[in-house]
Amino acid sequence: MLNYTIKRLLEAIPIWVAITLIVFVLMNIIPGDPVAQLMDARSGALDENVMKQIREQWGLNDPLPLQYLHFLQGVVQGDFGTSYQSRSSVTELLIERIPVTLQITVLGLIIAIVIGITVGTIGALKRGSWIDSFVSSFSVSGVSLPSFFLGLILMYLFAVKFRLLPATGYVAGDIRYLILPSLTLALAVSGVIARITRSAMIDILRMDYMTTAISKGMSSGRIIVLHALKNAMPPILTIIGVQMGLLLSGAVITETIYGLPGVGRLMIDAILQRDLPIVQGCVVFVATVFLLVNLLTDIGCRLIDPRIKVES
Amino acid sequence: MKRNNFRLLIFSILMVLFLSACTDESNPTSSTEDDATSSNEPTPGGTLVRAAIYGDPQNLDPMARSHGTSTSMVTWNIFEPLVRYDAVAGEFKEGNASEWEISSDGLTYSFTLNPDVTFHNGRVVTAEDFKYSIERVMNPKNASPNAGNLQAIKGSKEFMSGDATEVTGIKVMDDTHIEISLDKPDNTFLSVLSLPFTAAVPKEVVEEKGDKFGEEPVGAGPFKFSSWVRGSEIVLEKNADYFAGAPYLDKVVYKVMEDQTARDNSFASRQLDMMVLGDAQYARYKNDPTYGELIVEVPELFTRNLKFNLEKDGPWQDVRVRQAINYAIDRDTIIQTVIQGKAYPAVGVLPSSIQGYNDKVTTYSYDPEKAKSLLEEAGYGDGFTLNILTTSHPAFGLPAVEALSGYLEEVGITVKTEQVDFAAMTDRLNNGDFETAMSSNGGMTHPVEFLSRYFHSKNAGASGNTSHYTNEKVDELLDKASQTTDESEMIALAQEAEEMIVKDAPWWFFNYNKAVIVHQPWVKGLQEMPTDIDYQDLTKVWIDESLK
Repeated sequence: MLNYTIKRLLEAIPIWVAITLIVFVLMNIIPGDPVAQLMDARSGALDENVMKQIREQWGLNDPLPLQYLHFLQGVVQGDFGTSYQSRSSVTELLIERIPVTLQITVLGLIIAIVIGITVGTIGALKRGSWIDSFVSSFSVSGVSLPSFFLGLILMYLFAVKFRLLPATGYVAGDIRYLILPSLTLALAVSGVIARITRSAMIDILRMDYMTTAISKGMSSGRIIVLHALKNAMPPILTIIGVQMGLLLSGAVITETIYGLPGVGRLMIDAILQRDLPIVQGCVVFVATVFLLVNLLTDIGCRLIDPRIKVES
Repeated sequence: MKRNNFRLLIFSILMVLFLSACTDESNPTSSTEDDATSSNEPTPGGTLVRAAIYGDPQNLDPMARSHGTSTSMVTWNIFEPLVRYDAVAGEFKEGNASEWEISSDGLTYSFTLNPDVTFHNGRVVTAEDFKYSIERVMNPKNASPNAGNLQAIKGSKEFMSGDATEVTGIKVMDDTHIEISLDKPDNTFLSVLSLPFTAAVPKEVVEEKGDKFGEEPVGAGPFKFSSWVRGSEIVLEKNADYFAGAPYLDKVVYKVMEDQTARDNSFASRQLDMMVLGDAQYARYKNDPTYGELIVEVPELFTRNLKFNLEKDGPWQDVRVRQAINYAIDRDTIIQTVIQGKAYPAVGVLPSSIQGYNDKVTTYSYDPEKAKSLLEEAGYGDGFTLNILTTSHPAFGLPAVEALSGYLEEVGITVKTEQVDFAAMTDRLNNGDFETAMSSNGGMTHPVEFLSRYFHSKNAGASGNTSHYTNEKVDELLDKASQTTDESEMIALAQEAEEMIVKDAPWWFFNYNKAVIVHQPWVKGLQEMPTDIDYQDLTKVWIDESLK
């Protein structure tokens, strides 16, 4: 297992470097001068001498490959550079924002897993009934509804109409501010999890050993949880891993709608203002999380299902 | 039976949700009822929660960020400049300086500081603090985007290029007197000294905090910095020792909310006390029986326009073509339909809320026949294709361009549009990489500064005159206007220059933005602030708790 983990980690490094390179190149070829964005772009008047001085200070006159190498060198030392706009350390900005994103994604993932697995299992057990049809509709709706639309509906219902939860904003330690964003993220993902759970469970329920377990007189709860669900987990875990990426990308929109100071919003603002060090910092963070989650998912699947180990 | 009960339950839940969506309980009690219990006497106390719609200021050090809305709406309350510009009355008033005098040749500005002004750390603000703070902005090591605004000061070039260790034009006479000399007269300079980036910052705190000063700023303004959750909210609290008297509000909370619908929902759920309205929301709130009465609106100092790039070859090089385009478009109808009435038709360059506004300027009215004959005269009777660069902005972006395209097509001009984001638009305008572009320009409170920025040939390109408009007579008039010490002469010269600019039509003059704030019934003292409606004087705002 250790060899496998090390091999996977080593495989991830070139992917990670390629991602940073692609982002660096993209941000440098799209039009939009970061120095102009710092000046008073709204009134549309810039001072070219001052811009020249700032460009020099930021190292923007250096050749692009050199700028990229400086960035990589910094990242290896844990330094993502300094934001053009706020002049704060990007590492510090990320440290401030990561907890918010992690809180809504983790909470969202937990809600999604609970709803998705429960609904999917019920669908499989009640296969062909109207409950099963409801599960299928739930899965399709969850996947099809864009998160900004879902977010606004939830905000309207729970904040404006019933005034149960705050509409927007963030107060550290107050979970009320996290419920609606997490739910928004969770509903889309839970649909996918429910669909996969349902089909995996249907396959398992058809197996001979299930008949054996039933004939041995085991309780249906034990059969479902210990035999069926456990054996249906590898595809479910894989899809949960993939959905983490969806959750992170959904966080960008969700954080914007709910005014949450997370990594997603930091990245969107930075892209609009061409604040390259922040964009790179955010991308490195998201890519790292994504690669790690994929790795953990694969390891989890191997631990749960020894057949994978044998096959590989 | 069980199944039917379950279906009934689901149906009932859905019906409750549907019916709740059809009723509107979000409005507060009507203003008529409120008025019965409200008092018009300001009372101290309370918290104002307002929306900061242009995003996080990112850095509250006034030196570090440009004088844009997202920053200044906060820093104007933390820092105290030498003078304050009362945009509602259209005059300068006391700030950190209790008196000021401009020499008869317009070259020297002498300020007497109010001895009662203290920083939030308790130390008295001295003349030396202003010298330090202004030089800090000009210091090339600090790479301040505001440095360019201070180049009128004598000795600034030497200091900014590193050839001098101090700015010779800034002289500290004693603790309460400071003199600032200019290279040549510039009557727009006092406006610069009213902006937050020229306010005093305490040297000892700046040096102690280093880069963190922008995260925990200390100034001498009416409110003290309290806390900041980046990207979420900034909290200021009352400066009880403010020299001009403590503000009424105990606290001001700026909620960073860029999404319009989120602001709407927060306002409806009473999380917000006030917010600036976008074009799409304006008509809805204006027609609302409650909130229609709780709206503050003003023509803002921004002029939306379609600018021609006079550096690029094309039919628009002919003044008759530019005039024809001004005649061809029915701006009033576009304002009523696309912008839902949230703008004032532009007659010229200067918006109606600026000193020197001239509603008698020879302008263009909708006259497609005249447009056709001018095009015919210019040799473009068969039309041509015009490329318009635009953004997605709802008021002066793609929707407006699509509307004006219809009018241009009626006189034979085919329009091709290209939509980019604001950062790309800034780049393209600065580099002259466009034929025509829709944008919004302004923010200056001085008419000569406004006109010079966009039409003086010395500012061609990124400095503001992105149309590359050149007219020697206009340059001459604007130079004379900026150097005279006679205000009425300054206005007459500015109006003469504006008349020539409008005639030359380097822009299609579209509209002046109508800035609108909607507020809850308990918020009192908001003003029609033309510089930017977000720059409310919060020392005048108070909360009537009895209406909450």
